[in-house]
Amino acid sequence: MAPRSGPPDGGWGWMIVAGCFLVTICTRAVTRCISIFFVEFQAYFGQDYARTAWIHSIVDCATMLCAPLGSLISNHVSCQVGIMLGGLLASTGLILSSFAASLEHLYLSLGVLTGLGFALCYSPAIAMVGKYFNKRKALAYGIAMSGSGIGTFILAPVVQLLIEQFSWRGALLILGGFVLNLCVCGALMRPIALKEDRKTAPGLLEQEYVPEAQKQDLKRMSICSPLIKAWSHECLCYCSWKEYDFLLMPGFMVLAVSVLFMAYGCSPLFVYLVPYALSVGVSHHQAAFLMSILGVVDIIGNITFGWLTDRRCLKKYRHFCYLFAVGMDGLCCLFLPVLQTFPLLVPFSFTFGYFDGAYVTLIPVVTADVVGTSSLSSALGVVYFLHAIPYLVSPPVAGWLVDTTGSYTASFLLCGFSMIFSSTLLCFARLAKKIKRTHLRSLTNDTHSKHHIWTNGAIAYSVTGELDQKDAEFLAVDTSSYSNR
Amino acid sequence: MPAPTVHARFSGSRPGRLLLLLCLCLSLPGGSPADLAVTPQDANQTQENSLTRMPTGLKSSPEPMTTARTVNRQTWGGSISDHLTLGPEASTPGPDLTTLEFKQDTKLNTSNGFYVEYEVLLSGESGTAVVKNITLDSAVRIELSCKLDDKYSSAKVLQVTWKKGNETIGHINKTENSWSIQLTISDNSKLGSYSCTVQGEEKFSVVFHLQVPKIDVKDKPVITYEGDAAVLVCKSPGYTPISWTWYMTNGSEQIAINDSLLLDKYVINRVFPNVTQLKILNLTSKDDGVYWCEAAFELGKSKGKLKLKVLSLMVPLKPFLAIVAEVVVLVAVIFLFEIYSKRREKRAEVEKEFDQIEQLKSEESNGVENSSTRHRKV
Repeated sequence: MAPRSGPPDGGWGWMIVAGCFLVTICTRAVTRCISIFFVEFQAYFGQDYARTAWIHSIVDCATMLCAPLGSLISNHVSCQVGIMLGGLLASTGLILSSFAASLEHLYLSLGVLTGLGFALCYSPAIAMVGKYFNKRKALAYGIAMSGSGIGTFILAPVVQLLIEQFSWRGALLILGGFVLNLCVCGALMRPIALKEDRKTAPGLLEQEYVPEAQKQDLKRMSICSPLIKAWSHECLCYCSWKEYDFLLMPGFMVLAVSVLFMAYGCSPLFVYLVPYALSVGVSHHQAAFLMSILGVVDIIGNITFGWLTDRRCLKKYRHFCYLFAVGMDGLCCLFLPVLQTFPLLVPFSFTFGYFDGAYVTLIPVVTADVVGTSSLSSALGVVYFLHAIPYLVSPPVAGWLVDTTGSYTASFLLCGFSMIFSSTLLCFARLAKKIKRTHLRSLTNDTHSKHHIWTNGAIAYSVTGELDQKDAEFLAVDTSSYSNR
Repeated sequence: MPAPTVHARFSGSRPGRLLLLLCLCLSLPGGSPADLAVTPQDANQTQENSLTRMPTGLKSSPEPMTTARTVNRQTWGGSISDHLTLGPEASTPGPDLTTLEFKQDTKLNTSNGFYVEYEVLLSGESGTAVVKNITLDSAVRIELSCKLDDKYSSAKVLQVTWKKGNETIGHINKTENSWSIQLTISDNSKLGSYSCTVQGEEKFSVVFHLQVPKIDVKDKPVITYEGDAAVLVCKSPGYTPISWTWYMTNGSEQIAINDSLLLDKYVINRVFPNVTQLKILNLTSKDDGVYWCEAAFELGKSKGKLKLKVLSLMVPLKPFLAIVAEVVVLVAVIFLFEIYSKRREKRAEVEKEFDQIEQLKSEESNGVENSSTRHRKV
C-alpha cells in the first residue's frame, strides 16, 4: 500500500472510530457489567462478597497488565490479527466460565483468560485511532472512549435481563457471543502506513518547534522498517529495543510517573462514592442516582472535551487542558469530605464525572504528542500497564484507611492530593522545558527568526539558526535515504 | 453489605415479651373542606414501615435499650400526619404499662422498658377506615386504644365499639379521651382484625390487623439447567422463626420434603436463624414447578412461594449461535470489501501508470510529430 501524505482525518477513519467504540464497549463496559453477576455467584457458590469481587479485580488487572503484550503483538504481526485473537480469547474465557463449577474456575476463565483477551484488543484499537486522525484526534478519541460509558448504560439492564431469562450460565454464554464482535472490530482495523512517519521539513515547520518525537520517528523508521518484514531473530530484538526507546525519553518518564499518581487517585472514588453517600445519610436510590449521573456525565465529558480540545485555539494547549482536567478532579476529591448531603453531592458527581471523561479522552492524545504516532501503540501499552498497579492497590489501601480512621476523609484527601500532584508534576515539567527552550533561544537571538526553506526536489533543508543546524543535517540525511529507496 | 447487622441487632433485642402500646388519636379540624382523603394503602405503607423499622432504629448494642427517638413525621397534603415515638416515657394518658405482669415469666426480660406509642391524627371523611398492620411473631400482651383529640372532649356522648372480626369485645377500658382494650395474644386464634369504631356526629373507624411475619422471597422464578444444582432461599427479615419446612407441589398436593425423600437430592440448610436454603441437586425437567417454604412462629405459620424453572442447554445456545453467525457474516463482508477495494485501487494504479507511459511516449516524440500528437489528442 502506498504511504499516505498524512492522516486521513476522515473517510475510513470513521470506521476505525466505530470499531474502537465497539472495542471499548466490549472490553470496558463488559468488565463493569461483570459485577452484576456477583450476587448470582454469591448465592450459587455460597461465598462472601470479598471473594467474588476478586473476579472484577483480576479482569481489570489482567487487562491493564497485559496491555504491552497487546501492543507488541499488534506491532509485530498486525493490528487486525491482534484484535481478532483478543476477541477469540475473551469469548472463549466467557464461554468456559458459563460451565464453571467453582469460584476458582471463574477466577481463571473469567478473570485471567477474558482479561488477557481484552488486553490484546484495547490498546491496539486506541493506537489505531491515533494513526488515522490528526486535526480531529481528540474528537475521534472522545467518541471512541465514550463507548465505555454508553456501553455500561446499555449493557447493564441487558445483562440483568439476560440473567433473569437464562440464569447466569446462559447470560455468560450469550455475553461470550457478544464479545466475539471484537473480531469484527479487528477486521475493520485496516493498517495504514503514514508518510508522516518520515516527515519532510515543511510539515515540521508548521509547528512552532520540532518535537523530539519526530526526530525519534525518523531514526526508527529508517532502520527498522525494511527489516520488520525479514523476521530474523536479531533484528527483532534490535527492533524491539528501538520500539521501546521512548521509555528513556524524559517527557515520557514524567508522563509515566504522573499517570501512576493519577490512576492511584481516581480509582477508589468509583468504589467508595456509594458507601460514602450511604454513610452520610443518602438513601440507596439517591446513591445509585449519583453513580448514574457520574456515568452519563462521563460520556458527555468524553465527547465535548474531545471536540473542545480540537479547536485550533486550544490545540496548542492540549497538555494544559489535560493537566487542568486531572487537577479539577483532584480538587473535587479534596472537597468531597465536606459534602454531606445529597444536594451537595450532585454537583460533585457532575464535575467529577465531566473531568474524568475529559482526561480519559486526552490520555492517548497527550501520549501521542509526547512519543509520536509510530510508537503510539507501544507507548499506550506501557501507559495502560501503569494503570494496573494503582487500580489494584489503591481501593484496598483506601479501604484500610477508612477502617483505621473511621471516616472517609483521609482516603479522599489522599486521592485528591495524589491527582493534584500528578497534574502539578506535568505542569512543572512543561514549564521547565519552556524555560530551557526560551533560555537557549535567547542565546541565538541575533539570527533571523524567519525560516528559510530551500527545496531541491525530494530533499528539503531548513536553517533556522545555529541551534537547529543538527536538525537540518538530520533531515538531509534521512530524506536522502528515503529518496534512495 | 449493611443488611446482616439488622438481623443481629433485632434478634438480640427481642428476648422475652414486648409490650406494645398503640394509641390512636383522631382529630378533626373544624371546617376544612376538600381535604385529601387518606387511602388505606398509603396509611398502611408508612405504618408498616414505621412499625417494622422500630427495632432497627435502635443503634446501640443488642441489649434492650431505653433511648427515646422520634421517627417519621409525615404529612399528606398538610392535613394528615402521624409519627411513631419510641421511648420509656411518653406523654400518653392511660395506665403505665411498663409494670404490667406477664404470664410465663420464664421468658420475661424485665429490663426491657421498651414500648411504642402510636398516634394518628386523622382528618378524613367519615367512613374512611384507617388500617394498621401489626406484625407479631411471639406471644405478647397488647393494648390497643383509640384516642380522641382534646378539642373534642366537649362533644356529645360518643359510642365506641371494639370488635374482633364481627364479635364485639365487651371489656373496654375508658379514660377521659381514650378507649382501649387489652389483649393477650398467645396463639393463632387471637390474631386477626380488631376494629375500633367511634360514633358521634360522624363515624370513624380504625382497623388493626394483627398478623404473623411475612416471608421474603424472590418473586421472579429461579432459572437453572438440567444437571445443574439450584438453591432456593427464603428469608424472614426481622423475626426468627422456630422452624422451617419445605414443600414441593405434586399436581395439587403439597408434599413435605423431609428425610423420607432422597437425601442426596435435597439439602436443607439454615445459614442464619432467619434464612433457609433448599439445595436441589441433579436437576431434571421433572423438578420444574412451585416450591413452598413455611416458617413456624409461636403464633402461627407463614408461607412463601418459589418458582423453579429448569431449562435445557439448547435454550441459550440459540441466541449464542445467532450472534456467532452474525459475527462470521460481518467479518466475511468486511474482508470481501477490503479485497474488492484493493483490487479496484490496483486497477486504478495500473491505469494511471498506463496513462503516464502513454504521456511519456507522446512527449518523447513531441518535437517530430507535434501537430499530429495534437490531432491524436483531439
